[in-house]
Amino acid sequence: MIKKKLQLMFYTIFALTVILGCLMAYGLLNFMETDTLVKNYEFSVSKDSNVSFKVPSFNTSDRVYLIFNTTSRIDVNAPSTLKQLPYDIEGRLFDFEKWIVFQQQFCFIANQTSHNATLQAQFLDSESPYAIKVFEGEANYTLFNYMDLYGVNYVGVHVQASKNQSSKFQQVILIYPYQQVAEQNFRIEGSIKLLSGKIKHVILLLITRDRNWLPYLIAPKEKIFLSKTINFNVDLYNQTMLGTTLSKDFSKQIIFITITIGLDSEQWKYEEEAYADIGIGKIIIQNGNEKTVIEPKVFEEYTVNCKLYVFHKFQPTQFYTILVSTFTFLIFANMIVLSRLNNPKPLLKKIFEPLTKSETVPDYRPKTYEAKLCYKARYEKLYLLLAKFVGKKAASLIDVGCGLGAVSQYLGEKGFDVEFYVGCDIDKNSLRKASKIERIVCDVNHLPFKQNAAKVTICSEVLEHTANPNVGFKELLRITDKWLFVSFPDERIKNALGFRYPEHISEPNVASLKFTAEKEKFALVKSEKFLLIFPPSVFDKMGLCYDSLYRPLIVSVFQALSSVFRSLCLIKVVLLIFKKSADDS
Amino acid sequence: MCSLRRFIGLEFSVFMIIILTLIFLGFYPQTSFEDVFLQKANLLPFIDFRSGYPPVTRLPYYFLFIAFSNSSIYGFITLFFNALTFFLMIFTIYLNVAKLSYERTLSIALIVTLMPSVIYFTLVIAHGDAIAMMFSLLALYFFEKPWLAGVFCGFGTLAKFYPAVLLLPLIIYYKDFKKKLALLYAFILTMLLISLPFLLSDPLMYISVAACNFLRGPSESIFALIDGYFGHTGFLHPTFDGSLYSWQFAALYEPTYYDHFRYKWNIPILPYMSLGLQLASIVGISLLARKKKDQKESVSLISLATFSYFAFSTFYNPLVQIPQICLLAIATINWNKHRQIKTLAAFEAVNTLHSLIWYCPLFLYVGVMLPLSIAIMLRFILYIFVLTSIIRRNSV
Repeated sequence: MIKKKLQLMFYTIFALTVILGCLMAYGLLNFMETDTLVKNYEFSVSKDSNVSFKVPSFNTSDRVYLIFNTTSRIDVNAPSTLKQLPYDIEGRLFDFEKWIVFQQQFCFIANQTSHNATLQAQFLDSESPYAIKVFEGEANYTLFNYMDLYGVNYVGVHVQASKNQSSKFQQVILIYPYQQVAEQNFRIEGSIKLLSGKIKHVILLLITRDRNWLPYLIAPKEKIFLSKTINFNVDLYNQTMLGTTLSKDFSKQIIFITITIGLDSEQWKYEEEAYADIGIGKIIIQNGNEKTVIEPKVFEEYTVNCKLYVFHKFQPTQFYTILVSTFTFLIFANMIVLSRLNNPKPLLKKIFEPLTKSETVPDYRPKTYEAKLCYKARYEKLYLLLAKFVGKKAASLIDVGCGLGAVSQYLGEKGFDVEFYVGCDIDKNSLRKASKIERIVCDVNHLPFKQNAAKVTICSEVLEHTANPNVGFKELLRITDKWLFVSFPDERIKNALGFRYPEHISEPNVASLKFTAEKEKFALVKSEKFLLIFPPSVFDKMGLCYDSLYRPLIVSVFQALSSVFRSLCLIKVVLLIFKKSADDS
Repeated sequence: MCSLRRFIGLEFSVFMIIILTLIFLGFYPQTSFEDVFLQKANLLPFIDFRSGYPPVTRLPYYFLFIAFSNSSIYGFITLFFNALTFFLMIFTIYLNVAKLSYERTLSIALIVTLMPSVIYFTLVIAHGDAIAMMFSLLALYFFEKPWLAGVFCGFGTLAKFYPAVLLLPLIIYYKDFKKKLALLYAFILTMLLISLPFLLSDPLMYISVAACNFLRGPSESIFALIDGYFGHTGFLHPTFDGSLYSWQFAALYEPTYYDHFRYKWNIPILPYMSLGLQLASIVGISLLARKKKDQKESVSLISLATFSYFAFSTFYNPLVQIPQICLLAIATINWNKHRQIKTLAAFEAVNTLHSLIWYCPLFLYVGVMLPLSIAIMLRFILYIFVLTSIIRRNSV
């Protein structure tokens, strides 16, 4: 009946969760459909000119995004209602490989709602066919048109460098977007000219699709003279560049063709001004049948397209907050119902179960696979010490508290040979399963063996279950002919903190056991302590304590914690090895 | 064979040697560009800004940055934090291996600890993979307890996205429908509870973190190689683009074949092929795990199923070595010890070559394409070798 009610509850909550989830998703999708507003502008501008344009209404936290399709640098002045975000951590785009160098982008976050904000953009450069970036070090540049005495036009670049900066070199890079696959006749032809100042070199740099940089030095320092035109006509397909050629490169698609002007701070004397004026002439790119000409023209006046986006940001309402909270609560509620469904014990019965009915101490001995594996470390330790002190063979062995016979099984697997192996335990049910050894049901305090019955006696994790460990220990000494291996958990701290396992009713003490042993002519030959991951965890015990208080919620919490810590709980195990004195044996 | 005390003692010693070596060589974690940007622009992660990784990974580093970035000890503190996450990851490997093959606990844990690329990418350039892997391995450790597995999968997914993959093999593995439900509920609830502050502030920005990651292009995988993309996985855009929702970001740029975050496939069928192969391998191997009666074999196959996600993914970068090697260590646990160690070493060798392509200046001159192609193909051969070996062994 209760199971049916729980099932009904589960499906009802599940349906409610789905409905609520759909409602939230609908609301969010609805917002997403209308969260962007785009406006296009077109301006005719010249160097240092200003344009103003109105921004559509925006709310607090909305983003206003501007994209100018120009290679010119731009300064944008925004009203106080808009906070400009830095481009990146350096405040500028430093990676010239990015395609977006051919655009100028700005992003603002709205501080408050506004219906009449105006943005003002100032265009700082003339426009050229190239996007220009400063790479390595700091430098400033301006563009100008230059015509030499023979009437040849050049794109003039005035580079102003600084002598006092951390980077010795400065590179000003003129980038041209190409996006073509290089064919066998790929060739670049052009001219450059140093108009004034000093430069270190000029490099033609190809950036391929796989971001390979293929540089060709057009003009080394020694070939650069003032006002001398340097013409170049390079078969780049077969040209060796940084140890490779385009013909051998898998990726022949060239994304960018760049002209890199290199400056060196050490070129200039102390009193000299650190600058250079360079003219870039007409560049002709021959590739297959296609010929691309980059005209050496700087446009003083040009047209700029601008896209303005207002991206709305989601503003949570009270209703939304309630929806999310309820959704989370429903998932949580359904999880609890599901856990009850998984556990067939009726919830109400568990809550109102009288204390007298739960007198039996729950069996916390590890049943899970991983828990059993955790015991392996203890068995392994026992085996190693047995092998060290006893050897790999024993005539007779009594395993007191053998349980399911795991120790005998493990020793067998490891090749420890015992002629006569007897296991005894107080628990009949466990002994039934330990079918591979001789079994005797008995209490450690009254062992049904004669004196010196076994060459080796093992008593692993038993004494802490007895009211007086010394009584059982004396019995163990009595039946042992030579070697006695005793192990028990050292739980003094845990017990002092109140986390005692219900079935561990005493704390065996090493000093006391040693004293008893010495009285019976046994010597403690080895005392070993080691840590083990040992389920069950302390939280089982804590859950058990609260069980008597009829606080099922607390029990559930502790049980949940128990599950988490069950296999992570550390335990200190003490392993003692006693040997009967030679004269006595 | 190794007791816990011995393991902790040895690992601690090894860690101290590694950390001291890194300090001596001057390898410290650097501040993340994202943290610097957030501070500079006065933005909050996941609320104002679409961070690169989910909160369980991002926030600890962000708080460390806020607390110590002005101090010279930032590098040390972050290094020690990374070392702690690394240690916890190794500890979870220990737990899993102890469960499967007690004799190999120390050797496997030490081998993973001493792998150069694992050290570098967990201690110096850490992106939270150790945290994600720690939770994934805990989920694997508790795979028989759906509630716990779900909770740990949830935590893992909030560190990096890939631990969510573990859900699929587990769902297939469980025969009881209630267990499947329990796993999903625990997963969803964990995700919801931890994400609640962000979901209440701006769910769309929070969802965008995942959306942007899932919509990115290929990278350094066999699929990237076939499609002709040889770039890396960096965000080649103005950093302020991270303050937009993923679909707003997508509205700004046309997809191109060179933009990892707005990628246009040259061979559009490739991502579907990758997804198909991933699904087929995960489902197939999980079904195999479901049939197994021996839990050791089931765990190993579940681990392999999750590993196959990386094998057929369109995405790879050297950091993926961390989850890959952890899962591989468990997936190959039933192999002969020497064969297992050789396989792990082969993966490490290929990944070290792969890492050097991006981090060693030599490759700037040689060009990345040829060595990158070799590394990718070698790794793919290793993937196929591991997958076929284990599947063949288990299907007999």
